Amino acid sequence: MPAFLADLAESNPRLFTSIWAAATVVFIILSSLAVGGAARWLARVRGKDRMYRHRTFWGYFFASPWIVGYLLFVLGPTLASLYWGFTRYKLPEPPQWVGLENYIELLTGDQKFRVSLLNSLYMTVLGLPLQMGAALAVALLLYQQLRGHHLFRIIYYLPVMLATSSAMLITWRLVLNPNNGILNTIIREIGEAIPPFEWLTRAGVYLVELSSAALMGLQRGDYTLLHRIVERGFPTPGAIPLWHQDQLWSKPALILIGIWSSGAMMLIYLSALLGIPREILEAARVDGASPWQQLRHVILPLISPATFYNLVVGIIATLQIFEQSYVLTENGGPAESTYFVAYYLWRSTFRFNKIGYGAAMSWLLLVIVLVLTLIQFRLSRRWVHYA
Amino acid sequence: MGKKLLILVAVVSVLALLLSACAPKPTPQPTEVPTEAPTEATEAPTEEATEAPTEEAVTIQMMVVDYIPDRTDKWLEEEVVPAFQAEHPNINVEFIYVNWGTLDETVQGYFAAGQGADIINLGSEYIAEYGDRLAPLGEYFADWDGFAQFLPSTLDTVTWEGEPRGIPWLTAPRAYMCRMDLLENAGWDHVPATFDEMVQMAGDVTVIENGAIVLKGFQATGEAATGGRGDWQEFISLIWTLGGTLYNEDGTPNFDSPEARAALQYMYDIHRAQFPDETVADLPEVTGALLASDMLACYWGNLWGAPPTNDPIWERIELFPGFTHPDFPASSPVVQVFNDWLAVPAYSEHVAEAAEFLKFLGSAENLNTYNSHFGSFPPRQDAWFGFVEEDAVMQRMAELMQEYGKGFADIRETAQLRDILMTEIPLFLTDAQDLETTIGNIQSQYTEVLEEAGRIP
Amino acid sequence: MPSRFVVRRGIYRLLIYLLLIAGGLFTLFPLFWMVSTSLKTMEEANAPRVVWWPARPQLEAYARLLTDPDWLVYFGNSVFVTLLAVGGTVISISLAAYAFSRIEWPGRDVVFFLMLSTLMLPMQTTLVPQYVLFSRIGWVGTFNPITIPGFFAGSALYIFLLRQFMMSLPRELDEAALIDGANHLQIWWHILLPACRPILATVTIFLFVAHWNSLQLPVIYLTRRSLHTLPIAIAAMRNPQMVEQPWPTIMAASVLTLLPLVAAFLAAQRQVFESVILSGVKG
Repeated sequence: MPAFLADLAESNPRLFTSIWAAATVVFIILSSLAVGGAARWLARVRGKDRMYRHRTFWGYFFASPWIVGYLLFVLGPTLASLYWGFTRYKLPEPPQWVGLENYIELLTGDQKFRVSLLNSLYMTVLGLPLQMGAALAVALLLYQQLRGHHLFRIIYYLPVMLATSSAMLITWRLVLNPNNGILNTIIREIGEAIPPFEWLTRAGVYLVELSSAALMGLQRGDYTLLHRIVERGFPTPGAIPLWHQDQLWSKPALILIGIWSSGAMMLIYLSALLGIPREILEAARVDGASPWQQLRHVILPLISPATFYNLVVGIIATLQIFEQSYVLTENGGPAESTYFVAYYLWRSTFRFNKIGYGAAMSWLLLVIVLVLTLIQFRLSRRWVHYA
Repeated sequence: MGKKLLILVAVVSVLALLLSACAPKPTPQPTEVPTEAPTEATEAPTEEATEAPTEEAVTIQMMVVDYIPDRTDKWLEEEVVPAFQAEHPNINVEFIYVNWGTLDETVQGYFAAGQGADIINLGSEYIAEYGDRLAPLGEYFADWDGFAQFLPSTLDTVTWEGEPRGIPWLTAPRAYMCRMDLLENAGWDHVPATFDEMVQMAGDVTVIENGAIVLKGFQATGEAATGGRGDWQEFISLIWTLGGTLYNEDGTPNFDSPEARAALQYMYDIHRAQFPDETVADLPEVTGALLASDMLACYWGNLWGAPPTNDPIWERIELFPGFTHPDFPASSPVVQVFNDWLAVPAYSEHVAEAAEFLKFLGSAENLNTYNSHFGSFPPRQDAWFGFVEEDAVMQRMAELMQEYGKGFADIRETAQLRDILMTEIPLFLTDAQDLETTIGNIQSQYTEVLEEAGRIP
Repeated sequence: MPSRFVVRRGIYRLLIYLLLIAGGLFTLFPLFWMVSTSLKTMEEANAPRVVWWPARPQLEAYARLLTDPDWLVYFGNSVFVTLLAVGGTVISISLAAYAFSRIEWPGRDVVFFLMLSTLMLPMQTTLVPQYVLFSRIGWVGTFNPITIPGFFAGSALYIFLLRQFMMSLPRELDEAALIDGANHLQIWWHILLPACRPILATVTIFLFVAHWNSLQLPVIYLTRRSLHTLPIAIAAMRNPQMVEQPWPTIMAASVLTLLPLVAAFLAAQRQVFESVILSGVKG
């Protein structure tokens, strides 16, 4: 880089990037002409007619920004990462070939990787159904299309826009503060006013602690905590959720935020519901099906593609949780309870400078995503009904 | 055809340029400095003519993480640099301000790319992490009398393989502080003198209402982030207090020593004294120092996290170095001394100029002014005047540091050790695993880390 | 009978409204709390008893942030980065979508398949090598790594979305124009882009949200405080090393950060809902 540009990067970074952006646009135009021209020349060599050459030129001309970007920013880096996955690579030293060592370590030795995977599993098995259930419930309510449903639709969808913002996550940290946070205060006050609610809270606390402790046992091969919680028995009156303070509660806190921002899934369900032909529901009603039966036997099968879509996208999303671990629970804590694969990968690479290891992990992540998606497509044949 | 596209390009670039043009200047740019300094600068060359007559103009960059916005940055840019340029008109200094949250990424990035700031601001524990990638500065400091004035314990944090790699910049000792009025309410007329007394005191003072702590006996500075489940830096301090070490002679970790076990057991006991079980919510994150909030009786940390030293509440606070353990004859209170410091990375092309600026920043006057921004101590003994002498709390802290000070230094592969401890300690404190498992995990994981980093065979 | 039916219907509606309102309150509550806390005094924010709404709302935190030159820089950086990245991405992906939907060219299916396959690639796979690449060419510590790649049509999902929408437009439109002697650039600009307005609005708002909230990449690349964007600045405000947490100021900063998102969403919500409901796509 010329010296004056390097200076500009310091003194006026926005102008610096603007100049680069302008240069990039020029580069894209030139490369598009070049790619299009090369394609047309090839077509001519192969003796194609004028119209064919014309289409070839314009096709490659328009697709060229993507093609060039793919070569620069995707293909090259992907191949590099594939190679680095087999090396020990700590910058600034060059990579050192170590064969399968990274993969073997990840699959057999690395407890943090196992912890991350199992954390994702917990979020998927407990969190995702709750999110999807909430989304479906709201979608069904909005589907009634009562007056004002447009307003409610806006309200319920709004969190999707805000959920990953660090501003929002910090707000949640304030709301969820276990000691005097507003949510726990409300839970406490309602509990004092309405005893059954208090009992319900305690049952919820018990359930969450048992499930989280069981998972921790699985992660670390040490079931001490689960034993203690079972021994302690049903929580004493006044038990409250500890949210991000406790390793048993940090994931449920994230699940709560997931439910809060499940508007995207809600919209998918809503669009599926709106796509159901009215006559089918009418016929079910005429046959005397109760609302529950209609839901169970008519609506759910008809919107199963939406459920499938939400499931596939939701699982991939839980593997990739990052902002929550970085901002809300800080460094994946407490005690690694909010380490997810994407976060661990990021931390290994950028905090610990283990680039080869991070690369290997990213490939395992890719394989996991692919396998999970394939399995779901396989299973989906049994329960997803395409109209 | 191309016309439309050209228009589009023009629109985008004009928009971008407009935005960058109307951008407010980020914090006063160093480029403004020379215009303010010409009077001194024009005089200087004649005097210094013998030293640097034909030297090329050089700009060095300094990355700063310890600064008070609007105060330290103004002081550096508007006072320090002009004064420095009066002596060295050919050297310009620019500042890059970063924050602690992203410091690791920034520094990793500099070293990864092999380029970046010529002076970097590091925390106390970084020497073992980056020591071999920092320029040795011994030859540049050889003619500098001031260097001998630095406290030996602060020089520990900047020395690697016998060579200084920078200068200490900010010294913040950590000691214990107790609110005596709150202790008296719980029937304590003196601060705890032993590990057992600490546990006893913490249990006596703590008050729990509605499943949440409303008054807490003791908290270490890092526990605000762990929900009261231990502070890894306190753990290290406790090991030292008991007379233990972190490493064996051969460089292997020594976290299975009796001292480490006792320290961990103490952390468990004091935690359990305050949290009868793990359903209790810790103190909230409040605005202002906890010690001033009537919610916390005793605190371990530096003065930055304590109430301002001129707050009348200090009449009720006792500052003390720590406590001892009867089972460990070698035990003695340790005041952990954190030194944030300035280093010159080996990749820098301007090591000589950077060292020159470090010597200038390291003068007694400059260190005194700088540390007055934080209520921290200048790392040079002859810089302890003004605010250090006038303040009774600072005076007391200074005494403690001189008698019990030990630098928080030589922590190898800090980032990963921190992760290990921050995972294992809370697991033990919350009964998720027992002492033996915890000690075993720390020891084996840390050994692996050190092996992988090539620090032990 | 009809009267009983009407009553049941009424109760049924009331129930739905109650549920919707309850859920709506839960949804809006954190936002309310954010605004309320931002207007509190330090004492009210710390108070052991809940202060639902400050006795005398303070605008001090806002005034301080809006006059703080550093905050103006962060805000300006966020606006700059978001506009540049979104602008570059929207234009380039509409070009690519045009190629995949309106022109027949040899190799199109192969390229299209390649593009779709990048959907499966987790962002983390390319994160590391891209970092090494950018650090080699001196882009770390500049806005380039988070803006420039977007110019190369860097989001396969949205190309796919746009392409689907363009496929649904009648071919007669451009065929007529082609016969009239227009070239593809003119057709793209004059015919396709205006016809794609709703889907473009949707894609723009999703990209806007993604860039405005983005934290993972900016944290790595924007290594200086003068480059920081709002998400980094806010994440750094809550300093775990410090005991002191200035909640009113943090919340005021959050309100200011989220306001553009809310405004943009409200402005574009109709297009968003229409295109999502039409195509069944997640944001």
